[in-house]
Amino acid sequence: MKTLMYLASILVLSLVTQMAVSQAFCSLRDPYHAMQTIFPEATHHRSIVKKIDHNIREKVASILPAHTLHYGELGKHTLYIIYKDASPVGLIHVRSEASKWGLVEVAWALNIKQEILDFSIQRCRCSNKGDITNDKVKGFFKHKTAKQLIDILKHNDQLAPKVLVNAANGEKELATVILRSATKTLIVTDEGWKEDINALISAGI
Amino acid sequence: MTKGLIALIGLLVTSWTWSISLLDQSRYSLDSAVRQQYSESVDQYHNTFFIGLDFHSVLSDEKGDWGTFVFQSYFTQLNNAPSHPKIFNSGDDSKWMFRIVRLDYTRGSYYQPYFRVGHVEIPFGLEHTWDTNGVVMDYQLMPLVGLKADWGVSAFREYRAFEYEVSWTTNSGQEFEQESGVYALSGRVATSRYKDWIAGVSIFESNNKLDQSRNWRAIDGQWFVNRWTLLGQWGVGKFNGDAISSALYEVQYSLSRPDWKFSFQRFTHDLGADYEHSMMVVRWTPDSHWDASLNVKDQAVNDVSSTASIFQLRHRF
Repeated sequence: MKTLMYLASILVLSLVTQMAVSQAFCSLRDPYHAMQTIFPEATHHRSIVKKIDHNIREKVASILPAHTLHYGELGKHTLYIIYKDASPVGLIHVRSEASKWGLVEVAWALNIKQEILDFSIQRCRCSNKGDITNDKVKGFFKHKTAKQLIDILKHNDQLAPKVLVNAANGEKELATVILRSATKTLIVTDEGWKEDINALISAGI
Repeated sequence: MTKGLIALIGLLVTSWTWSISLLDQSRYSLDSAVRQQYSESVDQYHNTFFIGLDFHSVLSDEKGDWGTFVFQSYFTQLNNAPSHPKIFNSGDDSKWMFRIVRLDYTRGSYYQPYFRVGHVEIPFGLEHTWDTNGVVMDYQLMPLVGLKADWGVSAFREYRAFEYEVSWTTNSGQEFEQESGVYALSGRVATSRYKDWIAGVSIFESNNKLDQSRNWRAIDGQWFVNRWTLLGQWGVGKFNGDAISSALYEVQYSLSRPDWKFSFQRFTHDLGADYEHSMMVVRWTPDSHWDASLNVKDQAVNDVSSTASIFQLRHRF
């Protein structure tokens, strides 16, 4: 009887649920590994926590109807501004993308103009992930903008283009996952943190 | 009195960070769960209910981030429990409990450690890299070291190739108490948790209120390949001068979107008695709110076997 009461109370309380929050917060970690890999010169960082909500989900869906945000990707996320002494040297945004190997977690490094600088795979259970982190693949993504990546997906049936697949030593599915991750990250960064990034630009940084 | 004071301090710090960050730099969730349990040894059904606050805030100043604050406190109600932790008066008692309450200071030069104070997780073995708070499976810290989290301090840092954490705590568990000669010292050094294989070395040493001394030296390994995860942990040590040993093996298989995880764990130790269990856990997380888990454990203590099972339904708001 008590079990049923507790279940009922959880169900009633769940009706007033607002934003999705999945993992316990004690497991949240700053991406030190990615920061040290991509920005070895960095001295410190600043976090900007923002809510990625249904409005942003709908915006992503209107731009990328084939690759909208999963409900599990909503909630509060963090953009990291990376500094060397007093100057920002870049931004880091970590996003997870579904794949046949499970969730692939990628830390994307951007400049203030929201162009890709580099990326670091935080978690990927594909045994051939070395093929997607080589210099040729990183060269493909370097200085790409959201508009360029959206156009690439549009013109290649939402798949990785041949040049990227060749750079990834034929790993077509993994290349597509990374391309999708990059595109969504750039769109979400702009939608979620546009004002904060514009404030950095206005400050003359 | 002490718990009330800690709760008040925790809520004050929570409110302070809440106010100065205007909620922007904070995350919070109401976390509730119900566990229906069955113990074959006493042929008894019993359940546990949890509801509490999970709060996280980034702490920054004009120079950037300098720390984080985590506050997790839960109202816990036992019903018809055949056995219970000593902080409960009976198997039908309820208590406010702390899970993780910690203030991290994360500012320092490259070689300087970061620091942590509060009710911190014991850095030992596989548990150090897995979040098992509020779930029905873990890596057996309670039988091995007698603690999962404890009041004290730790120093930690994460680098590209490796990470470490060393803690000194009061060996008091839930209730903060500092007694002369009572302590727990624990530490782990491991390779980066972002690789496909991880190796770790842990040490533990403690003396409790009953003047029982315990120490462990353990190694752990993890290997991730596609949807499979293989885990292992082996330890040797002494309890009041007598040699002890333990071994843990686990295989996991995961699917995603919707998320299913299947785990099989085999665990043995000889601390106090010869103990072994084989445990199967199935966990389903269909979205960011709900989490359903079933744990079935077949255990033997000095060759006397029994089965126990737990079904948990959890919701995070």
